[in-house]
Amino acid sequence: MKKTIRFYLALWAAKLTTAVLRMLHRNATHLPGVVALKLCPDFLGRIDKPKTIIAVTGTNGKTTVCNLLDDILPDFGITPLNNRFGGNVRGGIVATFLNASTLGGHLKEDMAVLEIDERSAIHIFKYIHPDYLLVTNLFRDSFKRNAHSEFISDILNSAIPPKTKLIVNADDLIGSHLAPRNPRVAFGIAHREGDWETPQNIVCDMVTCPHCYTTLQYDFVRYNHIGRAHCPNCGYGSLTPKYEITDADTLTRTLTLRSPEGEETYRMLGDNITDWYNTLAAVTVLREVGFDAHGIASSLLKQQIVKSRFEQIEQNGKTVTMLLSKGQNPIACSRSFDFIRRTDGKKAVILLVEDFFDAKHSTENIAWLYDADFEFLNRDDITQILVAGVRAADFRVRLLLAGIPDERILCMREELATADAVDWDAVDNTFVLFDVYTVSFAEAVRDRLQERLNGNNEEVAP
Amino acid sequence: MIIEILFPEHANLFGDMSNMRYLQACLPEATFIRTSLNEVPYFVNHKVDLLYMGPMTERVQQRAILTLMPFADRIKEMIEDKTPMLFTGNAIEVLGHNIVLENGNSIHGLGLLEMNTKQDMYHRYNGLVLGHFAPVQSDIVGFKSQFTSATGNNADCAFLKVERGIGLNKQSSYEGFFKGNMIATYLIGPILILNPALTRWLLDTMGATDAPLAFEEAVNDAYARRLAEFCDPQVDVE
Repeated sequence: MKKTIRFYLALWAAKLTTAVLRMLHRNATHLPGVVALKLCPDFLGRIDKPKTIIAVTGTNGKTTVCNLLDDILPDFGITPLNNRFGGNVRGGIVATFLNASTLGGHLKEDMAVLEIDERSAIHIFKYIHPDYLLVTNLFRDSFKRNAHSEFISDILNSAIPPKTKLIVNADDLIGSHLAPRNPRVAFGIAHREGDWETPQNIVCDMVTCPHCYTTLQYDFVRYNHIGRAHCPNCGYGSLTPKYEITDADTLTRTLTLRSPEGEETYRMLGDNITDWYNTLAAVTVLREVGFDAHGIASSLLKQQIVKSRFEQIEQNGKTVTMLLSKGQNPIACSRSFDFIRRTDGKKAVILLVEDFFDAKHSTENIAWLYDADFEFLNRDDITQILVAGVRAADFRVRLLLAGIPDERILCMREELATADAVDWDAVDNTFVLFDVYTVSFAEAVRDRLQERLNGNNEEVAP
Repeated sequence: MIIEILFPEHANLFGDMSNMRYLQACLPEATFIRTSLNEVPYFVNHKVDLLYMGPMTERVQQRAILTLMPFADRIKEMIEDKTPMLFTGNAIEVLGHNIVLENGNSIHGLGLLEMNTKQDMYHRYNGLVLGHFAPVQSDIVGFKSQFTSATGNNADCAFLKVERGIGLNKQSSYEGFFKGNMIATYLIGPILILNPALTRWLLDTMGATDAPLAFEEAVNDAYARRLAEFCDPQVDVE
């Protein structure tokens, strides 16, 4: 699309908005985009694009994978245009292009890595046609916004440009079959000890074949619908991965990957299976774009999962583990619960995952609690579960339905009080689960837990 | 005590299956029959003490209508017999006259409820409902999250007379249907857990008058806190 006078006016007005916001020390990650779109609704179609566009979408893991790509690419001499510090909806994407463009609407970057909100794909892909689209996975997410995974799949199917090459998770039967006519490459993790023969979670959105409604036969299930399955009636089933993790060695901290070129070894960035999927997704994207395995492996040696998502602090033989677990996202919370149950030692769990915004003006729809696998916390080695916030009474009911004895559940109004209630004499590891919007509460709890481990047991006034 | 759950492999969105898990906690001796979409429902040839169906995707909804259509008369008979039934979320639409899809096409429902539905997949309604259910002294609290709005005649057979929130549509103050002992409601999620008085009524209606409510003190505490919030005019209902 050509650049029009209207486009230039929108560009300059948006850049002025950015400048004013920065003078006021405010974030310029969304509003300038809104201004540009107001003045020129097809702004994204008219602004210059990089030669190569990598888009990343999916329910879980997209931010982590984008961060990895953004951190690895400079080791290949590429600084990609990215929305790391911007929004992943249309206004944020526009702001990303705006901030990087000249007053003439030109870009200097040759490559972009864009995190795209699934629901916003329909507005963004109308103007931005990614060369590669990574779909990390598709699950149930916020009921209020995303309804169900079929709704999100339908949006993506209608939005994905026909020539875009999909990079999909072979172990995700929903995401891997999106846009069936598009070219695609799949990645996956081979069957591992600890995988199940049948679905174990409360939620499994792939029980029957979407074509003929015959019950699917799972070769293995890892969690929810993640695994490999086939329809015994019509041939529908999991894709064969081109890039497959065949071994994960937690002692040597390495992931062994089978690719068309042979066996490759990469550093294991985290202990959670989702960390492995995220690493594998990033490696697959980079390999498909054309970067060599050796260079990627070398760069991965320097990378780490950002502390805002996962942080472990050891002190006096005890551990505090901070786990980002998006509220209203039952799968993300269930992954955290699964990680906790697989960790050795006596444990306490602090839940700070109630909805921050609903708590301000309304009252949270807590239905999602009943799709999350709180049953995983029903173990003798989890001796305390501490819940704070206005929804604490609802969490208590949910935990009771999971079979957890009432005496292990401690409810309190103030977040910081949970840190004071942890019985450090009885637990080795305290897990703090928090939402992106409750980071400040979580950090205060973490700091207080550390203070107590350092010997300061004086209670902080709520 | 026999409780049939229709199509639990699909009709399980929004945490609604928790209602059955809660009933299982209240009625540990009850038999739960889970009928899949490819099976003839148990209620067709047997008496059940409760029939339940939860919310589902729009494609599954069409399939569910096809599966249940041959048994519409049997469900009508069960309404007249006062068999307890609970339909939540968009399961209510299966029982209505028709559903106008996003593409303009229309599909027939079972025709058991005086309601018609229209999909709008670009606008999702989310809200709270506070209402009164005649057989129960306590107010009912619940949540809505849906792509559809409905029109219909339910003023004399509504599940709830709405005090806050919306009924079948934004202009209506009558939510859902209550016919015989069948409750069909757009409310989603763990409505039996959120409303101990409703669960008590349901258990009594099923004949389980001696069954105690599971975690009674905890659910009553959570209910009292939620009710206070729902009654607070400062709390937004949409």
